[in-house]
Amino acid sequence: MRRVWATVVSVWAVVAIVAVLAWTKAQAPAPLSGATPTVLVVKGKNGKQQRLVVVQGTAGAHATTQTSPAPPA
Amino acid sequence: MIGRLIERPFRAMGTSCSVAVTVRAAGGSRADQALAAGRAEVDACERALSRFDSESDLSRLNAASGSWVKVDARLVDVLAAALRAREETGGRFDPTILPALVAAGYDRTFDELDERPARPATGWRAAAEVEIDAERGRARVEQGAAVDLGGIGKGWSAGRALFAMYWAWPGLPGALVDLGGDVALAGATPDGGPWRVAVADPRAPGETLATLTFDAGGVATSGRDRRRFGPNRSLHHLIDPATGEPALAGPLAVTVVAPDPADAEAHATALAVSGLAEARRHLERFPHLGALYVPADGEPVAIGALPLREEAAA
Repeated sequence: MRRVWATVVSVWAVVAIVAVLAWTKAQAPAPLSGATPTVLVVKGKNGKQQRLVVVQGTAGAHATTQTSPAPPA
Repeated sequence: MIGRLIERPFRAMGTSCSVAVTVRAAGGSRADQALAAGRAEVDACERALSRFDSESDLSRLNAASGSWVKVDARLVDVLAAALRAREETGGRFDPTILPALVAAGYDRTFDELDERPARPATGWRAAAEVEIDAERGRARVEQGAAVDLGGIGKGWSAGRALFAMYWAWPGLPGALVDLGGDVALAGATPDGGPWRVAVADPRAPGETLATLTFDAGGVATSGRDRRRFGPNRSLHHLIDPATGEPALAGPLAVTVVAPDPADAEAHATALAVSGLAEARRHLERFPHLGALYVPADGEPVAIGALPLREEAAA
């Protein structure tokens, strides 16, 4: 009887591990694609983001566009 | 990851600038050459196009209004681009607004401006005649008229500097030129993804409103959120060609994306003195342009060549 219970517990342990691994895998971010065209996310006045297309990633920008500022002193 | 980005910041054209190149991990020996070529081209453009340098080609052209003046090929080219943009925008962008801009008080570099009030631009009219003789490398502006390239010069120069960098190093993996927020870019990024350009939030200094990603082209922003002057900083540098005075209508700022950086800046300048409905009508005619229009009062709007984004927002 003890052997039966040990088998049941082992099976459930394996199932639990597989489930955790599957769940973790599902949370992983999708890889970036260089082929995706222009992406845009706009932030509303209240600070809430207005999602106009899906953003690829949150890595830093290479440049910033703005009304030309005066140069720093 | 295919390499790293080498950036060289510098000051030119009255603002903060930089040139940058993508260098593969194993290479990089020609990066300095390309960066130097980009910087040199920006300096050459400033010498030809600045209205604050009395010896520039543009200043000589304006000083001799009514007469043909032999000028640098850069000025001939940018004048041609400016005249084309004036036609495309129905005069909302006009390179001959200089007398009105000076009357408004923007008659010296921004650092030197004071609190003098604006005065009427008497005798000024929009769409003054500008003639180009590319074959002989000369130009002529109508008697009494004067040209300002502030609404196209940096974008045009950014594209030109990018070209100079590729000319110096034909195998250049990727490059970016940023002239005070007017950006030209091409080729590969260090991480192999698209170029990412943040749009500064004109309503919240220091914050980012949006992130644009694309493979090549230009992006420019025009607005009344900066470069204010006069009594209580009540004036701004965006002249409405229809009135000859600082524009009353128009957004707080507008960002335009275009294949050609000069087009991006010229059309941004035109949209900066246009209401939202007018901006929408304008961009319907130019499917290769996209814009992010930030009204003075209201939510930002993506218009033009960004239809999928609006669908996604619904």
